[in-house]
Amino acid sequence: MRVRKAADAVMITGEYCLEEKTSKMPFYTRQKLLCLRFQKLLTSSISNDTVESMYSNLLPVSGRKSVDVTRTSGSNGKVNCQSHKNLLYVFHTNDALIPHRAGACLIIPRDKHYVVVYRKRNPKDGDTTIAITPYAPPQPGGAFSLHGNAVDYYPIIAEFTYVKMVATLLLSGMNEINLISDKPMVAQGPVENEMMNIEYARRVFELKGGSYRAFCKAHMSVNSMTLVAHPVGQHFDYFHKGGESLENKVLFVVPSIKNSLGRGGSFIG
Amino acid sequence: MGDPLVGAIVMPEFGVIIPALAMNDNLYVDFHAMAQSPRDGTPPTAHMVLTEENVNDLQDYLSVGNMHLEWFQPNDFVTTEVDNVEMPETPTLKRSWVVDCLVVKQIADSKSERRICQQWACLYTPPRTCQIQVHVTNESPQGC
Repeated sequence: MRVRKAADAVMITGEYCLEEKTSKMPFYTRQKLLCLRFQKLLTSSISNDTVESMYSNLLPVSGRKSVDVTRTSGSNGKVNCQSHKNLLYVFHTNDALIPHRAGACLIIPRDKHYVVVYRKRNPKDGDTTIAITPYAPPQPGGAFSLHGNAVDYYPIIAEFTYVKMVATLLLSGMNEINLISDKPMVAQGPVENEMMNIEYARRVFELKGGSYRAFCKAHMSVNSMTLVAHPVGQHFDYFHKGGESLENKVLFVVPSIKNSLGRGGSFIG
Repeated sequence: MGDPLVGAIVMPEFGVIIPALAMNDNLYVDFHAMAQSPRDGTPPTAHMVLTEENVNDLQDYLSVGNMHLEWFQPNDFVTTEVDNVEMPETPTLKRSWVVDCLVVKQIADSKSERRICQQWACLYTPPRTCQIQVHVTNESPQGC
């Protein structure tokens, strides 16, 4: 009944003991996976030069030309005077954003995001001529789909995706045990979705004659990544179209951006 | 070393703060599943990362109220051995895992206002010596 130093992973789950008992959340799923931490990757260290190289290569392909303005749920921080300046600067310099194409805009600051109102240039017949787009306070980084060839340059990314599969299968195994012993299952929905991704990667693995490169690339192709280079504000995770997924996160220290204190900051989430 | 709370992830609903130990010579991977789940009906869980300013505010708040954060102790965790877990590449290859599990109780329901500065907030510090030992009989992923 104590933490063993030789444990492979540490798992923290949250039990919903204060929620009303509703039919939507039966007793056997009343736990949330707060954190499952694998203490080490297969390669436990990475050079600062490699981290610098990854950051400089991934930043340009992330978000909208290196800027994340789409996460409006609060993770980019609250709207304030500094975010006003940042937004105007980004609007001025980034031609991937609406004002560059729309011309004059009305920008309304809200608590966690901005509402940009503009006139459509080519409205369809019967359609309204006014459009509204929410923008979050701009932050460096953003979502991107990583090309599989990136693993040739940065093997750590292949390990990152491999460990996600390991975690999925571990959680699946733990849920089977919990089900037999009448204990709550954890992250049931995300695990089921991730199992489909693993099955796809396994088929590719067989077809490619046991190539780990093809295996990891296949799994990467059904996942998207997000580069996060700022402390995220309070928010709820959201997946489009009711999808569910395990979020895996590895932290790197980019020495050129911040003094390497060994703590804090996040890079890829 | 800076303050261990800077960069930590906070789950106010459960009163848990998990420090981040970002070091390029000691990499690890965290997994979270905190979105709303249509499959199992669980609501989303709010979370955030503490900035240096947040940590200063938190320390001030705690000192004014003569409060302190508590660290989870080793005996709060239950060690579970999970046998015969499939390896990703093929279901025929299996191995066992040892997982230290901790269940924390909800301290505010999902409809309540969430605050991070509470006297019940607990800290989790991961053991630094844990290792993953992956045994595969084929080419290892490091050969990618």
